[in-house]
Amino acid sequence: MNKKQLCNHIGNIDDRLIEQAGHIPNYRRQHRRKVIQRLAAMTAVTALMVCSFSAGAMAFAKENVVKVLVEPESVSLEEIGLTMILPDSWKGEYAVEKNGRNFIIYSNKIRDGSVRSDAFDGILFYIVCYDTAMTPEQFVENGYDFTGYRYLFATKSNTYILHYASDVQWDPSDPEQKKIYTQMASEIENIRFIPDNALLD
Amino acid sequence: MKAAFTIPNEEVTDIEDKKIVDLYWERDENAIKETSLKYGRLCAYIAGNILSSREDSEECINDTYLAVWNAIPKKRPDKFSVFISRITRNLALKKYEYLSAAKRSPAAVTSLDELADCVSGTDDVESEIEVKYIQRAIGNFLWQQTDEKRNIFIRRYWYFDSVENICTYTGFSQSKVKSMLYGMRQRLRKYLESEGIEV
Repeated sequence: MNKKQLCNHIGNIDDRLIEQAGHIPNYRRQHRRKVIQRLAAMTAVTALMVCSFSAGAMAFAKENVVKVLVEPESVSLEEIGLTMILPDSWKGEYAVEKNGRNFIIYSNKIRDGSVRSDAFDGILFYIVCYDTAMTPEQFVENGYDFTGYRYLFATKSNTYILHYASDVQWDPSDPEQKKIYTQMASEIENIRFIPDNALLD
Repeated sequence: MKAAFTIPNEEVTDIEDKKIVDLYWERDENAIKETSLKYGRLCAYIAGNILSSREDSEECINDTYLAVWNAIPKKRPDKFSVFISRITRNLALKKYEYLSAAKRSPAAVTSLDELADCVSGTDDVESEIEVKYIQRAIGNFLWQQTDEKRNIFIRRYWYFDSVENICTYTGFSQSKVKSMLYGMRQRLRKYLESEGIEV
């Protein structure tokens, strides 16, 4: 292949990709906003911790027994009406990034730990919401099985697929990153998915 | 450096686009006027990124309107902005090839040369099936990238934006953008090879 052929192939990519790039945001500003939001959240959490510590100290003094219901680690992907129930061990270990109607779930330790910004995203999997209802067989016939995937379910108008990351997502020279990624990747099969509008569809 | 330019917001323009397409279907010449009013700047921006002279760009834009006029009664594009952008890009690239090397736009030459990282440079003949397979693989690769990397790649190699302009849009430094593009090109090559595509 020569560069002109590659240029022509790039010219014929999905309309949605081109349109999305047509509305490219100022990422630096977005990052700054996220940092500010995180700082605000941390401040709030610290304040809550101080309050709960005080309350806890008082409760302990009275020797009350309090039953605590442990909430499962879950993420609601409202745009596509889907909730993920993740392993409890993932708490604080992952982040979700939205891409239109698709979602990228990655290990935040790997991504934050990458020295170079263009390397090792720590992506664990993608949740892709296709705009048509497909059976598992139709999904393959349509050629969407380009990476490892898990067919989740289909509603009247959508198909929900978990696509596994196909590239090396951690720094092979860092055994710690490998350990984190391998552990989390092995737990993906335990994730449960609940459609928000199951009764309607 | 040219002023940064992006596609008008879809929510605001979607209905108007349908009206423009209707005008083409009715063979109403106002269609071209409306297209020019709304998308003239976008077409000029894309053509200008590829072609160095203003005259060449204007000629390319006029060819675009004619091509849209001829194409639309057979088609009803879902996304008119992308449809017209793609026609402009293709026509500008054809013109770019036609023009002598001395006249070529430095920006487009650089973008194209960068793409050489992803390929061997051999002039292989690709069948229609292969072409579709490669295009789908490129699309799949891009969808698997983060939002930032994907958009920066497309701005550079689809819209032929200069690195300076990409920095203006994103707020990133030139070294960061160049580093991201380099990484993407390397990964695209690896991905295409892993998909059994001869690069």
